[in-house]
Amino acid sequence: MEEILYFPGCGLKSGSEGFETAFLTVMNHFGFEVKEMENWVCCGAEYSLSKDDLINKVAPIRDLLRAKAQGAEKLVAPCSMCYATLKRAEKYARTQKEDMEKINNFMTEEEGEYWGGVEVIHSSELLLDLLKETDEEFTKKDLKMASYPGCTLLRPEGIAVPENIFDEILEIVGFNTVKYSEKEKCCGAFLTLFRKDITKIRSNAVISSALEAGADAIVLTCPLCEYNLAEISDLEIPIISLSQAVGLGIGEENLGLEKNRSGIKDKSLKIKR
Amino acid sequence: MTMDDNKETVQIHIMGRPYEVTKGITIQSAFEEAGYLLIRGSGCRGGFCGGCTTVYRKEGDYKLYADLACQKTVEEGMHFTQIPYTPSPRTNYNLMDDGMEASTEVVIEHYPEVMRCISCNRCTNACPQDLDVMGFINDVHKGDLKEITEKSFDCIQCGICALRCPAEISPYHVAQLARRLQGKYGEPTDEFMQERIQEIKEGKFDGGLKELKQMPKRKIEKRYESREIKL
Repeated sequence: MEEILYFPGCGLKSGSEGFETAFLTVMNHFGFEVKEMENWVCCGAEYSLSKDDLINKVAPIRDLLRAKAQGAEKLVAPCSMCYATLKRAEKYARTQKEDMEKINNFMTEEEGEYWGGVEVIHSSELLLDLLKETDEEFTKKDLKMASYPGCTLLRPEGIAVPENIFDEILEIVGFNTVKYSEKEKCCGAFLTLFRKDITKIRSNAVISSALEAGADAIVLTCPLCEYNLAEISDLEIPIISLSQAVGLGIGEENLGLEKNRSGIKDKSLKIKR
Repeated sequence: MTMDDNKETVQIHIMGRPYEVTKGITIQSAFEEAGYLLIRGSGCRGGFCGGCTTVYRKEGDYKLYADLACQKTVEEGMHFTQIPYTPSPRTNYNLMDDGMEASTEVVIEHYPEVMRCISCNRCTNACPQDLDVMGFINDVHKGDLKEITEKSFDCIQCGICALRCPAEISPYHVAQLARRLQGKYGEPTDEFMQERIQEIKEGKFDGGLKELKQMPKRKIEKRYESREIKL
C-alpha cells in the first residue's frame, strides 16, 4: 500500500464528517494508506482573505513546515478551502523570499524553516489520477449529478484545479452529469455570517438551477458550500462530497452519508422527511 | 570569567526603580528583598497556583516576556512589574444549564474569538507549564473536547497565554470550560459515587457526623490514629 499524508481541516472534523469517512474509504479502495498529518493547525482559510498578507500566512506555512518535517513531499487536502489556502501559501513560500524570512521567524519552535517543497494537491486531482490508472470498470448509473466545485477550486489561475475535473471523475465512475447555469456561481460564502438573506438568494438559485437541469444530487468538496446549500436554502436536494460520489460509483459502503447536512437517508440519496 | 560572573548581586528594575538584589533568587524573592510586601499576585510560591504572573523586559531585547514570579530567577538588567491578576474575560455559565453538553460548539458559543487563532504559537511559547496551547485551541476547531482536556490538564490558569495572544483569545479560560464540559458530560459516571451520594442524601451519615461535631478534639485525634485501614 502506498502511503499518503493528508490534511483534513476543521470542516471535515466537525460538521462535514461524512466527507472524511468517504475520502478515507475511497483512498483505501485504490490502495492508499491515508495518514492524517500530525499536529495540523488551522489552514488559515478564515483570514487569508484579509488585506494583511503576512500574518495570515503563518498558519498554512506552519502546516506545510510540519508536513515536511513529517517526511511528506505531497499533502492532499480533501477540503477545497484548505486546498486553496495551503496551495497559495506554498506558492508564496517559493516566490516571496523577503516576506518568508519574517514568517520563518515565527517558526522558532518548529523543525527548520520553510522555503517550499511540499506539493499541495486537492483530492479531486488524486482521484482523477487513480481512476485513470485503474483497470476496474464501473457500471452506468441512473443518477444525475450536478458538480459544484466552488470558488476556491476555480480561481485564481495557477491555484485552480482543471475546470471540469469533477464532471470527468463522476462520468468515469458511471454517473450522468448535468450542465446548469449556476454551476460556477457563488453559494453565498461567508455572507452567511452577517447577510443570511443574500446567502439564501444565492443558495436557492444554485439549487433550483440544478433541479431544473434534472440533477439528483449536488457534488462538492467545500464544507461551507455544503452548509449554505443545506442549511440556509429553502430548497432541498441531496448534497454529497466528491469522495462520497466516487464511493457510490465504485460500490463502497462506508461513506458517512448519514452525517451530511442535507439529511440523506442512505445510498439511494433520498432525503429523510 | 568576567567581573560580572563574580558579582553576588544583579541590578534589576522593579516598576521603574533600580535595585541591587542577590543573584540567583526568584523574581518574587527579589520583590521582597527590595522591601515590597506582596498582598496580591502571589500565591503558593511553588509554581502550582498560577497566581504570580509577572511581566518583564530585558535590557537590549525588544521582546516582552511573562513568567511566574515564584519560578523565574532574576537576571541582570530585568525590568519587571507584578500584575495582581490577568485581566481577561471569563464568561459566566452554569454547567447545569440547558444546552450545556460535551461539545466544542458550547465552547465556541462562549468564546467565539477562538476562531480568530492565526496559529502564531506565541501562547505555546509563553506557557510556563510547557503546554501545547496552540494545539488545544486548534482542537476547538477540530471539535475534539477530550484532546483539549488532555492537552490542558496541567494548566495552572496563570493567564500568560492570554497576555501574549494577538487574537485576544484567553486560552486558559477556553480550556477550563472544555475540561468542565468533558468532566461533567463527556466522561462516564461512577456507579459507586452515585450510590454514595444517594446514601448521603438518605441521611446514612447524619448520626456519625453529629457525633463527631460534639466530640472533643483529643478524642477525634485518638480515633483517627487508631482507625482501621482496609485495603
